[in-house]
Amino acid sequence: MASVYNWQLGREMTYRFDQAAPERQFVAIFNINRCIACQTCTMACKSTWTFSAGQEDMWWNNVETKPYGGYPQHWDVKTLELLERANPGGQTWGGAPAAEAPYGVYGGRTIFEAASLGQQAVGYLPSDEEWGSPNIHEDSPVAKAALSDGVSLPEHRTWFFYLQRICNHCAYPACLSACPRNAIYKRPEDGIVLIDQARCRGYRKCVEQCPYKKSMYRPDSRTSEKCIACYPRVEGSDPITEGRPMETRCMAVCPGQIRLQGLVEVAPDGTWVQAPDNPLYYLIREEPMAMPLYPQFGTSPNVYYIPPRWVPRQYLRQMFGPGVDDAVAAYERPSRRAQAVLQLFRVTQSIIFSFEVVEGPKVAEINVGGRPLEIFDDTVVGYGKDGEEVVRVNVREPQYERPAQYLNTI
Amino acid sequence: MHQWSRAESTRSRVRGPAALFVVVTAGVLIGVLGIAPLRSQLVTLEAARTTAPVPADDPWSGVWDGAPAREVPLSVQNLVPPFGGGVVDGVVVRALFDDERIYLSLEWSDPAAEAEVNATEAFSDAAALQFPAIPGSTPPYTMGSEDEPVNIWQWKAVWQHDIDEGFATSATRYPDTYADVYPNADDPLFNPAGYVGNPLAQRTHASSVENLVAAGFGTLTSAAIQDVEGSGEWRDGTWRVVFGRPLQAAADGLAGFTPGSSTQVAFAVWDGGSGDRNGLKSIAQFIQLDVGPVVAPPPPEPPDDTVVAAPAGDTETEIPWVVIAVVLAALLPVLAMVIAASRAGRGSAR
Ligand code: SF4
Ligand code: SF4
Repeated sequence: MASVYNWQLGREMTYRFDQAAPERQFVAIFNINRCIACQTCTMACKSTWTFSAGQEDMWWNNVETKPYGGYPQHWDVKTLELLERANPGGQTWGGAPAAEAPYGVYGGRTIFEAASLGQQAVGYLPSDEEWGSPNIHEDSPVAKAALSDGVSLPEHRTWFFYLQRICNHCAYPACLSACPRNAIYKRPEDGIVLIDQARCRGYRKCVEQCPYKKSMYRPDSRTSEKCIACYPRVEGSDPITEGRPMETRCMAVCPGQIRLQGLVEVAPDGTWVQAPDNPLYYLIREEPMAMPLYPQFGTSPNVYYIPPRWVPRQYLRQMFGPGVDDAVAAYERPSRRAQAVLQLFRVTQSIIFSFEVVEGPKVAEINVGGRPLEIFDDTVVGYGKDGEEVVRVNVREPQYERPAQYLNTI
Repeated sequence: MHQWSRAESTRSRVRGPAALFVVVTAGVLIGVLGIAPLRSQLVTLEAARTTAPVPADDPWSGVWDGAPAREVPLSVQNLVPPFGGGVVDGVVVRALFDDERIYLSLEWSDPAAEAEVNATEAFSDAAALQFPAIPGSTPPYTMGSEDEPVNIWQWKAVWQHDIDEGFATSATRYPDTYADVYPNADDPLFNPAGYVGNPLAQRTHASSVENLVAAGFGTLTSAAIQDVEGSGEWRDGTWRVVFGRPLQAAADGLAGFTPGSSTQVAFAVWDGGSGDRNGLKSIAQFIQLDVGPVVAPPPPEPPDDTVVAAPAGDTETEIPWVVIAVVLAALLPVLAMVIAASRAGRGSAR
């Protein structure tokens, strides 16, 4: 079996294929803190791609309530358990996050390394029952304390949070390595992972081996289907943005403005080409504030999360690795630059390839964790692929006060 | 009613001891040497000439009753990921031919027939035959190679079900599923696999057998010409499947059969209930398939007639001497153990 470099883990890792990387990679950041679970993203995806017979239980985008919810149910716990069974007691994180291993040093096995002879990765096939209740346990909290006690930071004792999930268009996709027919491919231009519907024979090895369970079986076509990252939009073939690459449907509709999606440049060894003025690169690699979900699975997923700051850290460390503490801290007290970049979430349909911050006046000083935090009304300007300005927003959102004579009027 | 000639019937009787030897040899190879796939290599299947029609839609037809049967052991597929299968440990194969067509029949036991794929965990039973695509070539039985491709005929229980009872959708399985509306329900674009012509996604099939070509792992492709007919029927724990096709290949890259000569055939069986699909299957290597008595050239006689008593021309006598030597060598320690055990037994009796 070949060996590839997984920069998220800072080490070589076994994989079915030799090292290869796309020129650019589809990447998204979801800010868990801001999600209101309105499921607008979910419905945008469904009404665009999965509204036909045989796709009733197919949700390429879903938002589940953690810790109890899951689509398919228990997908995360089951995969973690498979790793544990293959390597009892060995799934440990050690070492502080560093440049080489940005999320901490993972001492355990990836899903590829834990596989038994004759398999590409550990995995399981969820049952129809597990797929059938996409929003089970919605809003169900862990209630360690009586609700009357109230909650307070840094860790709420009564807590839940929403986890937004799409296919991660992984750097080392488990779905792709699982397919004995090589019907799954990763596009060199944007790293989007697609199932060739002409070659798929419905074996469901991808469904079995995707640890995030984002490849799904459609009984009515007898093939597996998955998130296609709205590739016509990412290619810029949608007329709305006049040929500019465009965010996916689930990103563009988000009322909570939690989502930012774009493309980052990738080096041949799979690492990202330094681009501190790319908003995704900036928040993921420079701050770092956004974390990959279960990086220990080893697929090098490309959806990053700004972790929820009220959730017990132990739970978050399991999901994101030990680097999560720093990420929460970075979000709680965002740097001046981060304050500006965070404004770029869901403000334009065009993919922002680079940004620039124009400094403005200090407008507030607030208290965060007993220490002052200065807020500046900087302006952040986003540029599209062609270098044209596509959006300009301020840190301080404009406020309009209705004059007294217009109260109660429309 | 036996439709094949008396000579052939005699031949099949004379083969008794030879077949026994083959089974014993194979057993030793498996038990002592652990070389399972070799077992199937030692079997020859002779297609018997028939004058009676062979119904492709009736695998249990009486026409098969006296056809020479060969039991081919199957093994787990553990050559290329994903490993799997091995639940079905053997298949009984028979072959017939007439002036126009060749027919093969497979029979194996399976406690439950699985013929639906309309749930994530539902997989179909299936069975396949594999032939060299180039006459006279000896491709690797592992789905051929680029230089030596193979022609595969795969019967699928789910296609049989589609033909017999209609295409089963998720709504067939879950009739209470409710959706407000299916927009553009008649637009084929929203069934992309079907739209791009994926044979698996088609709602109707001319045959329950798919004609395929392959040139190595992962290259399996539906052939341009679909001319293999067949059917399968499960009765009381047993699947019987019949395949039929013109002797002559309709195009290059498809198997051809010439009366009086040999080719090779390999087998695979999938048990849907065990999650078998793709490489997760029970397999056998190529065995020799004689289309009627093979006329020329006669294979060499084994010099020691105590080993095999079979008439000249019976291809089953083509057991390689090296195999026999290996078997004998392997048997020696067993014999020694038996002798030692019997001596010990006598000793304790004393
Ligand atoms: S649309 Fe945005 S806010 Fe609403 S559920 Fe989806 S991610 Fe959360
Ligand atoms: S999330 Fe799953 S389906 Fe998507 S690319 Fe990764 S392994 Fe494949």
